[in-house]
Amino acid sequence: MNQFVFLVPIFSWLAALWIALGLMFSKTDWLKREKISYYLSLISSGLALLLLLVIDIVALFSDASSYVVMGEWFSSGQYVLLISFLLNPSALAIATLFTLIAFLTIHFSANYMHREKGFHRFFMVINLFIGAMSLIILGGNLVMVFVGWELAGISSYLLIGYVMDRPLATKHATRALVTNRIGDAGLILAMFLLFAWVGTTEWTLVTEKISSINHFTTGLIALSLLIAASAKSAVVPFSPWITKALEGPTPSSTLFYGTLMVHAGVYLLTRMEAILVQSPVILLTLCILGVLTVLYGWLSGLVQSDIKGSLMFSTTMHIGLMFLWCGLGWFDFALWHLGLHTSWRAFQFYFSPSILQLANRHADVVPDWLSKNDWLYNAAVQRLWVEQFGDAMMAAPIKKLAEDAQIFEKKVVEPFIGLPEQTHAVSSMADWEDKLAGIRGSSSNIGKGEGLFGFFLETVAGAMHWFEENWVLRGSGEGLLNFLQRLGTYLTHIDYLICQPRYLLIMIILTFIIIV
Amino acid sequence: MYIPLSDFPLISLIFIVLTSASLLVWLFPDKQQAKWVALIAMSVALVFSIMMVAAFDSQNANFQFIEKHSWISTINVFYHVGVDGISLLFLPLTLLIGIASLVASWTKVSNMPRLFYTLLLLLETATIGVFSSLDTILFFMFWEMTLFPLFFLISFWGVGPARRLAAVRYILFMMAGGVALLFAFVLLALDHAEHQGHLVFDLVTLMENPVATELQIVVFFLLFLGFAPKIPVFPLHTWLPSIAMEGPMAVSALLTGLKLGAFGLIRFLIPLTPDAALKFHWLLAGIGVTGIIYGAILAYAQTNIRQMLAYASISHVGLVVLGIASLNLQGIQGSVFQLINFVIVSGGLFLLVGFLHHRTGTTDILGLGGVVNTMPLLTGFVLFLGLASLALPGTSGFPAEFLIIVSALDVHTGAGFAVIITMVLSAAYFLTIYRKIFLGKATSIVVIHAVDLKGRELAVAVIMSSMVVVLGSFPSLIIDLISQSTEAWAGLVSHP
Repeated sequence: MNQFVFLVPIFSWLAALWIALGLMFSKTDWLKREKISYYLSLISSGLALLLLLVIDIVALFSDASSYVVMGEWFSSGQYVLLISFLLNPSALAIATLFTLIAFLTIHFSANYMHREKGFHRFFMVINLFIGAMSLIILGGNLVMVFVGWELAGISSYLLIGYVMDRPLATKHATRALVTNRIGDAGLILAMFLLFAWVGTTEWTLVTEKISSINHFTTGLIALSLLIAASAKSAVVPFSPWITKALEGPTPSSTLFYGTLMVHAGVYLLTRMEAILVQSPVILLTLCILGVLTVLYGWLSGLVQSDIKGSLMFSTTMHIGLMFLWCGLGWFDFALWHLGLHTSWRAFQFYFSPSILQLANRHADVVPDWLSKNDWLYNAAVQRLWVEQFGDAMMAAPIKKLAEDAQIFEKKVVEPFIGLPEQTHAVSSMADWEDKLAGIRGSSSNIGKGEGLFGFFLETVAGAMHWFEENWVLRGSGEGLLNFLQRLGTYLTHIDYLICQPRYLLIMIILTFIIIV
Repeated sequence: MYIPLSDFPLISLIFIVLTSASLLVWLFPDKQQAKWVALIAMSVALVFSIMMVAAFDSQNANFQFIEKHSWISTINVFYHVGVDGISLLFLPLTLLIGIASLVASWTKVSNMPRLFYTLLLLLETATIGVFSSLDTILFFMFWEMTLFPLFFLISFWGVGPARRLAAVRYILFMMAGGVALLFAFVLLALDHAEHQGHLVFDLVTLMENPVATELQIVVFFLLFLGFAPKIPVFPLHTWLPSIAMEGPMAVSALLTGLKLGAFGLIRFLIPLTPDAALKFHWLLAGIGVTGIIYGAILAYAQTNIRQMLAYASISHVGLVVLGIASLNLQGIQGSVFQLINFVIVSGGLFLLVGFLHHRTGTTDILGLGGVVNTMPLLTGFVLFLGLASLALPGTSGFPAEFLIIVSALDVHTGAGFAVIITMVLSAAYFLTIYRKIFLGKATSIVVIHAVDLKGRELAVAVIMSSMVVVLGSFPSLIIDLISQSTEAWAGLVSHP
């Protein structure tokens, strides 16, 4: 029975593919097709759920965990990427729970999304996501997890930007995906390190072999996995993306940020318990990150004025707690917390619109101690400036750098390579007067070279001409002075640029690259 | 009598079909029939090339489908063609992207259609020649033969105002490189003449008898100088963005999709100068990394999606150079896979952007925005191929980039880290410009009145996307074909 587990993601992906093909080629009215998309998704997730239940029952009566290898995905030398699943009790339990929630979500969304323009798109992405999520949970090696990881990230991008003509929504979607990519980079690194030092990424083998490897390398592996988990679970410092991710329809927000995807990071941590416990430093980091996230979620949550916002911050806080449990070594406890939190939060998210109707009162006011402390209150409203900090450290320098590079390309590289300019127009009156007086650009009467060699010839000729005219003929004085002055301005420019933090950063990175 | 398919001169047949079609185009009275002639010829050639893939023995690392005839006997130049696992797949892919470009610009060539199709067919012939020739002089001839069709295609049918300049710029770059190439090949031949008594231009013989290390170093730099502009590497890349802006979309797709320069590194540079490559692999890696980072950062600064794609392509080809520089199995397999992936993804993206340009007359964020409202399919396919270029698992980009990254981390760890950092940047540059052009509210009048992909265009998009999915889900299809030859390649230059 266990070897059919690969069908769990496949069911959902086939449904997604079918809906996608319908979007492309179907000529039937999109409203009439709503039923098809809905039933297709319901059946696929229902089948996945049934299959998992059967596997659960078999597992209850047989040996606890089983490791299924379906075959080789691809391989190159010692890098063998297997398609494998590890069905241990925790994986099966979480997978069943998640699939159940997904199944219910699909049922819920059918009415919620009815007559929405993006009905089919929504269901397509939800199916893609459900398959990806089950792969993260059931996958027997890091490669499988990575596949699910990235697909889940893309689905989240597509659903945050569900309302495609709202600029803010798409902006937040982009931000979410880019932040997620940092985590993906961590995962790629972890995959490589595992291949290089352990020779495999299969969980079972890694668990066996990891204790025989030196602490520094285990620490590195754990660190890169930690980066991946933190980015996905939106732990400080990666938190800001998740509170902005609630742009999509309620069912998708629930599925991604309230329940399933946000827990993927914690789940990964429990899955790699064997690696983490080898390196105390990483465990300590986990604790610190957990505590920081709890503070962040709790403080910012207190000042939220809308229900989704406060639910989201509360979720973040709980994730922080789970990180803390992992850091303390209570992995099973974290898993229990995960399961219970998922179930409760899913209910809360779905119920939240109705709660406003039923309760019919204002949100709780901010507690006294917080509203009296101006500084703290401000910090909470600003969400502890985590986002601004990230922007100032990463986004802004890269943007500036890109602008600088563009100038460099146009002003330095292209002229240096020496090809025909697009225009030979003079740029200013002063230029024109210079030209008339034959001060600059006089070499152009001699001949215009084209191409690399032509350019060299022309430059050499021009430079000699200039040298002769300015220095030899006029003697010392004006020419030399002008030259020095110009050189001085250039140097000031370069000096100014070097002092910019982004260039300092680049130099550090460069040194790093050269040394390694 | 039964003749096995592998003994059939299939490569020559492809040449004959394509070149004779380029003449045949002129015989039909109706100008509009020219495109049909071109399409049929390319399809027939595609069938031949697929037959080659079917008959290819993937367990054999040697060249297959070899044809060797004396050509210029006085200096020992042969008409010597054949393919191994590394070059085999580029033949059908060249024809496929050619057909896709042809179909994509089906109604767009009204000016001198016969000449256009003749030149396109000649370009295809020359490109296939580059991929399949096993004689350095023959290779050089095909290499230079790609230039003149490109020159006229860009300067006559380009879409930008400065297309002539762009064409001149391109040709000058390539000519400059060509000199170095020829010089290197002649040096090699002369050295062999000294030892063996006759000139040797034959690639297989040259590979079997590498020259002395000192000479290898000279040849290494000459060959690299020759291939560098075509790859392109920083700072010799400036022609690519200008071609992307000025050239016709079909040609941009061919030029960015088929990375002849990188193929040259794999086929000629490393196997001919293995010792020099072992000495200077760090230089190749450095140049590769520079390209990756520089291209990615510049792509982030672009406001025009064609420019962005051009810089992204510089960044991605840097990855291939880095993979080659690793000089190990993963590196070469990843690089070949990435080159195959390029044809589909980069080529496909340029064609899709071409559809957008055809409808709206611009690809700049200034004149666009909210394309999704009227062209949801186009938006979807651009996103899909874009994600493939970000190496999303399940698309053909993933196995390629994964193999290159692990090989780089293995050999040039620092460079590998740099690549991992650019993974994040690549998502940023693609999605930022994608958001500004395709998402949001449609404000421009040309966008509001545009129609979505239909018929022919949809077929091109669907074929490209399904290839991405198939190769991404079953990477072994490709890796099995290339594994023996790449292992032999890596065996030539086992890293210390």
